[in-house]
Amino acid sequence: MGSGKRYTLIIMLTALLSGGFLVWWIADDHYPAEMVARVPGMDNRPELEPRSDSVIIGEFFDTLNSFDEYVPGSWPRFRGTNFDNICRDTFNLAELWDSSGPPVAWKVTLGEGYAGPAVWNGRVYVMDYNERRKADMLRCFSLKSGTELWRRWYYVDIKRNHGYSRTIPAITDDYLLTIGPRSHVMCLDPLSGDLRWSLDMEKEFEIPGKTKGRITPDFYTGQCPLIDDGVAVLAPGGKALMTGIDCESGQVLWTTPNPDTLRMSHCSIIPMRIHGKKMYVYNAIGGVCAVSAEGADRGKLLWQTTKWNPLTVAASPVLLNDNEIAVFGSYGAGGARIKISYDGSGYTASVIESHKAMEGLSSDQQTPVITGDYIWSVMPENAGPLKRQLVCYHLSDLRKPVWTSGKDSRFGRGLGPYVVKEDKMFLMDDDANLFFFQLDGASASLIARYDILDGIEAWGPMAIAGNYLILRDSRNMICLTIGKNSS
Amino acid sequence: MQDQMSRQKNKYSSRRDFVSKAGKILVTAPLVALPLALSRKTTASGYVWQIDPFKCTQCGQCKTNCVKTPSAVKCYHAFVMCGYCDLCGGYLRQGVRTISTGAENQLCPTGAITRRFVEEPYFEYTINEDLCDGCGKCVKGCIDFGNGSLYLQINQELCDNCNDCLIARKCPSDAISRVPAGRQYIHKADGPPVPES
Repeated sequence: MGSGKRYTLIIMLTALLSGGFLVWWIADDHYPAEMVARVPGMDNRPELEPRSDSVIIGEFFDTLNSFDEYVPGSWPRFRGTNFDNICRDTFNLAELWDSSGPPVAWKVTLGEGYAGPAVWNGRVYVMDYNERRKADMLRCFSLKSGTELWRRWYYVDIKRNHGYSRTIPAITDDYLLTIGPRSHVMCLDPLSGDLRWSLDMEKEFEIPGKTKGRITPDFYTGQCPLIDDGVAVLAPGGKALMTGIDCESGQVLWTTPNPDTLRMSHCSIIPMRIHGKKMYVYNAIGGVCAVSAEGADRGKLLWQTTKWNPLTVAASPVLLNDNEIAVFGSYGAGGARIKISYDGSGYTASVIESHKAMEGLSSDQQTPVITGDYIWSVMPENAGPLKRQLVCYHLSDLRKPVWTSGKDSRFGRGLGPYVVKEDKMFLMDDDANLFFFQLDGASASLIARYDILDGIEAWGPMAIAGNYLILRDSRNMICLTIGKNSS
Repeated sequence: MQDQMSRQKNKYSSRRDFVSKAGKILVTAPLVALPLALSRKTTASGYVWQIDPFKCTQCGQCKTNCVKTPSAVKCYHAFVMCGYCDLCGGYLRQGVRTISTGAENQLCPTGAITRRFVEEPYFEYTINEDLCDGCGKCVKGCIDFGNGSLYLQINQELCDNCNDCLIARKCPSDAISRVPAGRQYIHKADGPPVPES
């Protein structure tokens, strides 16, 4: 074979191989997986069925110890006396403690959860879940010593779903109201623990077979109950947007229809006075609404908007100036400002501004605190550069912060609680580290940091009552003495 | 003795022939050996590239900068850390109206996460590595709203272990470094890696 023919053969072979490779490259499916249509129902989620178990709410009562000594102080419900998370008790706060922090008055172990305490008449009440007994358990402790006085409890089998307990009882001189993780309501005598009446909101208000008709939300009930003028005010969703029940008799006084099937969220009903009218404002799943809280039309729906409807809501609404409210959504939903208008005959609500967590004031879990013209929050994880920072905004502008704690001062995952006493703020991060701030108008300066508990998921709201600060992580509740000259 | 000498002499017809054959061997050997050597994975003194999930910020550079297509970076799931939530921040897009497996609700752009009902109220999430392109969106969602059980790792079966790893160079948080080949994965459930002394 001549050298010319040899070269031609080599070139032809090379061309053939290259061509073959090209054909293979184009024809072959290089993506190793098959295309599958993603449609609803691929997770084998079963049809929604009514719960078959029967719960005898408040069935058991254990007397444990005698009440020892009364000490003053009150934190009668979620966010305290005035629903603002600011302690109004008159006592002198100690200015400084040694490196170990405020002295520990007492400490108790709880079931896993985030339920905060309520304080009344020298007693501390916690709606706990006992994992061993599989029971909701209202526990009453002495504020002074932490001695457990009694328990009112009932069996309810629930599974751990980011803890169990979440709600804070509401207390007056005559009534104590609780909601359990699966929307079981108890009304009791706050001193004796005697059961007045109970209500299973799932059984009473659920619309069977409808997802929107479900009562208890994902991760269990987070709505803290409200007692207003002797009436238990609850927002079950399902068949009723809101209901008012006479605390004395357990009789339903009024029920607000729920035509848009708004659902129970993790936020709580907040009484507000807007345009001079007292109303119960609630940020439900599916929309925000307000129900008349006084007068002949008590229980009537005053306004509602579905323009703001994040999938999950934990922080409760707060009242701004000029008949505006701020609402917040979890999972990156951010916040919104809603203006309530009144034309002499009725109210209308319009979302005048909304923003994602990266764009403005937001809170995934705790409800922001207003001091004067400023509103404070710890920003959530997905708030961009401000993530997990303590921030302050002017009430007139929820998009531009006036102060931030800075990139070197971030607090856990931004889910921990904070509470204000005069010009001081106690803030706890997710790992139960306690931060003590001096508030100065629109800024805050860190006074001290204390490692109080070696805990996790310290998300339960704190309470200040008398000389005491009560806080918890996922499994322990601790009472600190924060008053000056207190023994 | 004479026969032996003549056989040795006859093995190479001439000195020219010997030099020619030796030259051919010298030229051919590297041509054969080089592809073989290149086809084998190289390790720098027994080290491989890996992502520290505790430093990773899910910036997305791993998806676009890895020389492999799709990226050798994959999402892994620490089941022991998972909350098995129905409302899963790693599976569902932010702002979804309903919780379902519909494509419009899923955060993963390639549908690499499979969701399966276990028992009320739990759902199990598994990663299809063939579909995962290492974008890290689910990891960010899981960290932002959940327990952080999803995390990115370089799949050592897929990694070419380039000497100059491009994603290591591009990583803004210096999360990618060489780790001993004997401990080639950093399991998130075990906690942050202990630096070598």
